[in-house]
Amino acid sequence: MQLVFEKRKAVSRRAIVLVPILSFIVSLILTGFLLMAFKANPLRTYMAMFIGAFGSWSNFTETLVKATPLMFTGLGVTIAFKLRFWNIGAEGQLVFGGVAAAWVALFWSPFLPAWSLLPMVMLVGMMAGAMWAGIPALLKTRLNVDETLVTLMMNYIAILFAEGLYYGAWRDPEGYGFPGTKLFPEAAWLPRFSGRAHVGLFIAIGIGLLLWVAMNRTKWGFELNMIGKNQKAARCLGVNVKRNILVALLISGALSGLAGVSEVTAISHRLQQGLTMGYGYTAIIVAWLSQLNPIAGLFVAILMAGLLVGGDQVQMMMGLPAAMGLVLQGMILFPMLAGSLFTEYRLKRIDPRNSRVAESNEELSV
Amino acid sequence: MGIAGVAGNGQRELTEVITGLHPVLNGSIKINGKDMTNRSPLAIIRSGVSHIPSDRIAMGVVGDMSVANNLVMKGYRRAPITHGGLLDPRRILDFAKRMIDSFKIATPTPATHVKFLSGGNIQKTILAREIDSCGGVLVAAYPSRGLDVGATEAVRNEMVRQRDRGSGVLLVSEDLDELLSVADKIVVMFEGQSMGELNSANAGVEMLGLMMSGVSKSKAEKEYYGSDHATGV
Repeated sequence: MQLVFEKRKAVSRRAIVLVPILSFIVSLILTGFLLMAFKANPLRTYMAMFIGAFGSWSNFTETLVKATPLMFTGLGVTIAFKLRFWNIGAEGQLVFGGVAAAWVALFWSPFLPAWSLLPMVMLVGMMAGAMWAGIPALLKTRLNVDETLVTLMMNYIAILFAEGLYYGAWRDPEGYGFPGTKLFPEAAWLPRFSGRAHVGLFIAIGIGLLLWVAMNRTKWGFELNMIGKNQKAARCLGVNVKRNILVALLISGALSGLAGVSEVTAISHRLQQGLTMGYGYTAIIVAWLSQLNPIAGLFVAILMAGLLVGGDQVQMMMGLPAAMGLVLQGMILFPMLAGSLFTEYRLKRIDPRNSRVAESNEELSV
Repeated sequence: MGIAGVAGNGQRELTEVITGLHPVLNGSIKINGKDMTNRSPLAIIRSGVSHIPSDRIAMGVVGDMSVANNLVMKGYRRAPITHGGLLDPRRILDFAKRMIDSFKIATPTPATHVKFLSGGNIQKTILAREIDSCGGVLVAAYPSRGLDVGATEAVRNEMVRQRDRGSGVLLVSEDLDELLSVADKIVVMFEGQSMGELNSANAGVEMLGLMMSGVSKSKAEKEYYGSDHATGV
């Protein structure tokens, strides 16, 4: 008996749904071995993580707190990935959005009526994120510079720029040496609704739904789809590829910028150390695991946030490293990449005595 | 109008310059009486040009999208497919079903991804879309290359029907029999230059062959008719 991969006659919808779920389970199993190396019981650890993240309303609000920036950045990355523009700079776009938000909140407040401060903070923060993504988009469309490298390197520029500000020029003189700016005026605070969970969550969900409609039901989304799947054909059919890439990346960056805005205006109320916990990088996993579906992305963001919160819990309760959650997140990607093969291929058993069947069907032998 | 020539002598480039995919360095392009030199591909599509590209899989279709979506890749910009930027999935399906019927595209369903179709049916999908949206000029590069007999026949018939409807058809082909049977006039290209224009009624395969290898029209005529006379006498 021999196993071969046979090309499917149509893309399997079942595989599209099953692969991410199975990937998650495989990731749990693989991480389980790691946990055993730490002499911890995998089942008990996972149970503790689950309870820590979803076990009570107050735990769940903490998960929602972490899910909100993941939704924003995940959706932002989704738009860029749809175009096969590998924006791995959501982290920097988030930070730069946060910096701009802090700038408006701290220094514009004397000149603006109180009611307009928060909208202005959000607007400028989004514009800053858009700018941070727009630069690599411009470089790509004008000079064909590789976007992966530029977006990645711009993360460090943004992060160090922010550090320079809250360690230096913007540091609160009464902050007892803690690296951070002064507290924002309350007019610039994004309201919370329960625990630390804030209205940014609803904005993110709203944008997720809107984005699904935009990507699946509008001319704009149709063109993004064409460009992402065959750029040459899109150009032949009259689609303005460069303008579309630029516009999509501005939106992508604006969404990541909004993640930074909501973090500083709703959680810390100042720009300080620890603005992002790798939300911009986890966004890549969110986008991939959701198969670039914005609505699925909202749920995946909650799941990933649960892993982060659960990871913190097992550190406190079981003395395991908090990075366990991150390990789980990372482990998902490998089976996911391997599994995506099954959306277009299927495994088939063949009898070697009848191997002519294999040759005639253009198969990929393992 | 047919363009003959050995592949790689500038025919593909010619079609891609006309359709706005490459810049015009000198000379001008007029479509339906309007100057369209160096306009965007979209502006040229809007002026009435349809394009059947030489590489149908790389340029003509989006393989990972459905047959229905590929069929509306020109029509999605206008009503009735779109209203205020919103696509109407039901109209897309209706339109696709109509096209699949009238061009006899063999596909399991309109939702099947185009890449799962055969070459002939992919070409029919492109043909359906381009003919339906054609506004007077059809540029076709090697439209029947690599197709089976039935699909080739369908493509050729469609070219002739377009001409009969009064459209200008520019057919680039390597198949001389196809050119002679479909085109009224044939221009032969060699190393990016036109070697002259012939009426297909009094052009023979040998004559085209001579010009395709770089012999000028007058010389080819002399040689062709000259030898003809010699054997005749």
